[in-house]
Amino acid sequence: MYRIGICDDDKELCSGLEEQIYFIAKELSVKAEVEVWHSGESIVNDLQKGTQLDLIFLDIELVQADGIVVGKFIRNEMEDINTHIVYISSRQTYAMQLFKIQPLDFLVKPISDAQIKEVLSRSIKQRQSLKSCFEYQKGGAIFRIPTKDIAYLTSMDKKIRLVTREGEEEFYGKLKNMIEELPADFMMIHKSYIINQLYVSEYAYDCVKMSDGTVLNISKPYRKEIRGKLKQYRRAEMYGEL
Amino acid sequence: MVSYRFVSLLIVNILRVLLIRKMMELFLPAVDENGKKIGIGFVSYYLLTIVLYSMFNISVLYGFCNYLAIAGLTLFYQGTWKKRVWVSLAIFAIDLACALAVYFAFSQIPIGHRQALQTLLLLICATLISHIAYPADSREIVFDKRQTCILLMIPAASVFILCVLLYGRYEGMAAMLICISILIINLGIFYLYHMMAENYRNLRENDIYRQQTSIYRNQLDVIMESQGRIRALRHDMKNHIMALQMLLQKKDLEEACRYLGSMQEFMANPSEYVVTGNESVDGLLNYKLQRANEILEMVEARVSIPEKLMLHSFDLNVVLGNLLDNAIEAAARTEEKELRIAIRLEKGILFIHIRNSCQGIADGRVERLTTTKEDAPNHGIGLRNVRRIIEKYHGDMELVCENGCMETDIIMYINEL
Repeated sequence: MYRIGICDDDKELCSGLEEQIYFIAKELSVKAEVEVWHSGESIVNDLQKGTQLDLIFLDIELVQADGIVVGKFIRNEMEDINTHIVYISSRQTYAMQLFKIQPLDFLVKPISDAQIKEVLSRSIKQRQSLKSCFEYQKGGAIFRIPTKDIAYLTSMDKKIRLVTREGEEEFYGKLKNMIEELPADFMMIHKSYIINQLYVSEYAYDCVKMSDGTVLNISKPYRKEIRGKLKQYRRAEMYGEL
Repeated sequence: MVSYRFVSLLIVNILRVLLIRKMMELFLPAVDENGKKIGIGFVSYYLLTIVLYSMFNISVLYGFCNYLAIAGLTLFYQGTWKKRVWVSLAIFAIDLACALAVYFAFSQIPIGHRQALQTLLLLICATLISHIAYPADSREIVFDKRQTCILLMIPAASVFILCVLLYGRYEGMAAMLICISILIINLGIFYLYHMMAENYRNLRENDIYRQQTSIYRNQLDVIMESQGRIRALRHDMKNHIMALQMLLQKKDLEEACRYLGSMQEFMANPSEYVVTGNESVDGLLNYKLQRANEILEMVEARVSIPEKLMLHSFDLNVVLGNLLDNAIEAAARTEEKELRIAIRLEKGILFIHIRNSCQGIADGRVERLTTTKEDAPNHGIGLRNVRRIIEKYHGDMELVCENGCMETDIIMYINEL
């Protein structure tokens, strides 16, 4: 079940969009459930109460709590970077703040079926790659954790520190062996750091800033490879768009 | 005595080779991967000159071999063959003039001392040359035929005069003075080179600024046009509202929809392809895409960047301007006539993707494009400028050609954490 939210104060548009999404989900043979909100406050309220969404079509210009406030609430207060946000607006100019929320895309109203199809299949594809699990041994027992919850791994001596959304774990192992077990979203950026691209909030050529604020260095021998990977990753996406 | 002479030759020659290397690197950019090869090249040059010098002393044959060796060394650096010939000839002329000036002036003193004096003179010349401030990018400058000719003639003529002096066994003060004059003339040519480089850079900058101005003028036109349309619509708004009211009262929904559609059409400005709020990107893309639309069948642009970008607009203009020019030009020569561009900012990285139909380029990764324009030396510079700017942002560019379709992918890091 793919849970999709729409938040826009234009009721006509919401019901139109809802219909479009159901239609396209059927075409893509995806089971979808669409829920609609008409104000920023109401969606924030429901999210707080525990409503979980995979993808939100979020209007930028809402009356009180606008798209930026809602986006910030999801990313910063809920610490949720897994929910895909697609900003919708009748304007084509976007403030820098919107980019900080790392939306999956920006769509200009009116929204065509082709655009929804592209964005929806991209969202689903990105999500599927996150279904895998990661196993590690600690004190004789084997633990399993969904890879999408892992932000990054660091190693010191023989100990590995695994940082997740909720906290940290420490166990013994070799980082070099782990990268082979992790999906392609993970990158080795240093002989003692592995990061999950999903949890990166900003890239520079020599370091990355993770969503928890930690800055990790990309060591020199890895820089070229990282640059190539990022380019490749993005290229595939842009190719689909054009 | 022989061993003393030989040891001094060994030591002095180290300095001489280092000076030649320094002078060469003032004019020719090194390729990063070639670092080791260059080192090996200069060591073998060092050994070769020692052998030659001990065998032939200063003679026409020594000079000839020396020149070939210097010219060989320039092969390790980037540059056109014309420039290689010029640089090697100019360096050789200075080296030879130094050697001969000392040779004629102090023919009585031991050869070891002469070697030392000659290298000292070379050191002075090298210092003078390196003190002429070359523009940062002058090493990549390419001159046209006439300029190269002038630059080549002087050292070539100098070498000829020096050879005549040597061959004719002239001696004494007069010969030395001739050598010194030639040295001065050849130092002058480096200054001339500097001025030509400066001039060349100014011309290029002018070119960019001129283009920038027309881009801004175009963008201004686009904005005025958009505003004019809105003003015109507002002027007739009362009439439009009345007409719509009438249609709605008559419950003629179809006609009302059509009416609204035509109002929207009236507002749309056909020459406004990109509206991001980022003036310089909007300006450039609207300017280039308008041109593209005139000659191509299919033009598409998808841009999502913020209104303010932490990127020098000059830099972005050089990158986008040059690449779009190339893409449009290539696409125009194909049947499909297609151009698509996507620009996107994500997590502090700017991605640019350009795809255009192309013809006559082999499949696979493209390292450099050969120009199809007439005055070849001044073209192909565009792509080099683009590369330099991308490097400034620690980014990367890749051009891939596949099935008659050229794809350019660029990544640039726009913030430093």
